[in-house]
Amino acid sequence: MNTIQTLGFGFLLPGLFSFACLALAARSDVRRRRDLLGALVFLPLPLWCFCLDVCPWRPAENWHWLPWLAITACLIHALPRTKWILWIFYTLFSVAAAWALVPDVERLAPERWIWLSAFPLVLLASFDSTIMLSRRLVGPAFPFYLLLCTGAAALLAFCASIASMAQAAGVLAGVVVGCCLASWRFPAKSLTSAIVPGWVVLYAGITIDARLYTWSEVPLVSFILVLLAPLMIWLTVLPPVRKMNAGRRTMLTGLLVMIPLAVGLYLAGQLAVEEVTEAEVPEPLLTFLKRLFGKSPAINMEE
Amino acid sequence: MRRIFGVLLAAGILGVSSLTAIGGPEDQSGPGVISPANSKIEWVGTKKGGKHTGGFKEFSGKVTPATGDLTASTISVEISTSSLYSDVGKLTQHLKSPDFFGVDTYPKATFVSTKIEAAGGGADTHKITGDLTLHGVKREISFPAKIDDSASKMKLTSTFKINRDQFGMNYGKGMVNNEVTVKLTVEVARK
Repeated sequence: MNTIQTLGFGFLLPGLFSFACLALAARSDVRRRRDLLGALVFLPLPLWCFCLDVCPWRPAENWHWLPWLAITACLIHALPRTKWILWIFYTLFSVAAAWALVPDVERLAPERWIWLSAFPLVLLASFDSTIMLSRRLVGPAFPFYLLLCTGAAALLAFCASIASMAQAAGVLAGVVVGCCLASWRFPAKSLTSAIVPGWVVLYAGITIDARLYTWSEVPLVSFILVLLAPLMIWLTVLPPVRKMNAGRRTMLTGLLVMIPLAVGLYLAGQLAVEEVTEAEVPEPLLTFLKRLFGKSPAINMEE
Repeated sequence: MRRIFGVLLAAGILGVSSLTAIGGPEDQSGPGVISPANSKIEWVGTKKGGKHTGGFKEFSGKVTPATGDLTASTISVEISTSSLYSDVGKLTQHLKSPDFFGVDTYPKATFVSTKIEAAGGGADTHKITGDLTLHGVKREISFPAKIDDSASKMKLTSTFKINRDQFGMNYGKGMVNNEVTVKLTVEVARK
């Protein structure tokens, strides 16, 4: 697979498809209909992943269920129902998703039950918090924050030496960019809520599964910081921030979201750069990265 | 008195454990036994403009029966995939991930020969056919081998290629070449 194919299936096509679906959804004044049309964004996700050689059609590893779970979450969100039925569905879905995504392998045996218990709680809390935010924050700012988080998840998966998960996060970033553009083009309509359930499943799934599958020594705190970073978006609804003009508010919230992401990635990147050699990264870039993370190339050469 | 008895008992248990541990390496070089003590399983992977080398540190196997005509024997090897190593630490982590070996899901790779036949001409003296199970996929492979067989030991050396794509390891197509060279060096006591 060459760079153009990787960029096409891994970012551009998901972005264009997402924009097209959400632009179509924006024509409707009924939120339920918008959610249903918006849910279509994730329908070709297994296809993008298959074309990238990231996930086979039939899941072979636990994390390969992610694209199918994202579609299911969006469909649950879009189906007509009362609020309490929706949360019963979300609860059942979160438990099932945890069982599907947490691998039953010997290395994780001691902590498997912790992850099986924590995963549904993380999903439920994220559904609740992110769906609520998506309805409060209309316009391109909210998907922009989600994009920052998604980009960080991709980098984290890369630092954790699981490139296929980083690529899956790249596909998700494409979807969110499409949503950003659609929200910017149609600022009066709440479009992001349609993709939020799928985004939550993919974001939490990639971050947690990257932790579970990694053989690198990226610290747990990096994964936790990236996982919890979207909570910082809540600061945007605080009265002092809400009173600011749109540009300043977006910039401030973006910076606040980036703090946990930057700390998490810094900790992960430090280890990654220590382990990277000239064989993998060109010398000038390696020197730059080592300077950035405070590793002197001269000392490493002596070693 | 009780305390002394307890100490003696603990020392006894430790002593037995140590003896068992000492017995291990001896077992690793018995007749027909294949182990890291007498053998090597290495690979060379290539990519655009470069290559990497590595191997497996933990594996076990045997030649059965250990004595007699080799063409009537069976060679079986079980590899612990998590013992994979390479020339770059970061690459080792990546190879263990689901992108390649997925060692959590597929902790073992196995090879069981089904036919060992004499090959005429060339440096390779034999052709070995068998079932290789890697990444959860079982496929029949054949490879040439140079075997020096005597009454006391058998030395096998072989270099051949396998296609990782055929074993469902298809991540990084176009960046990482599908063909991986496998280098085997096996030296087994025959009696």
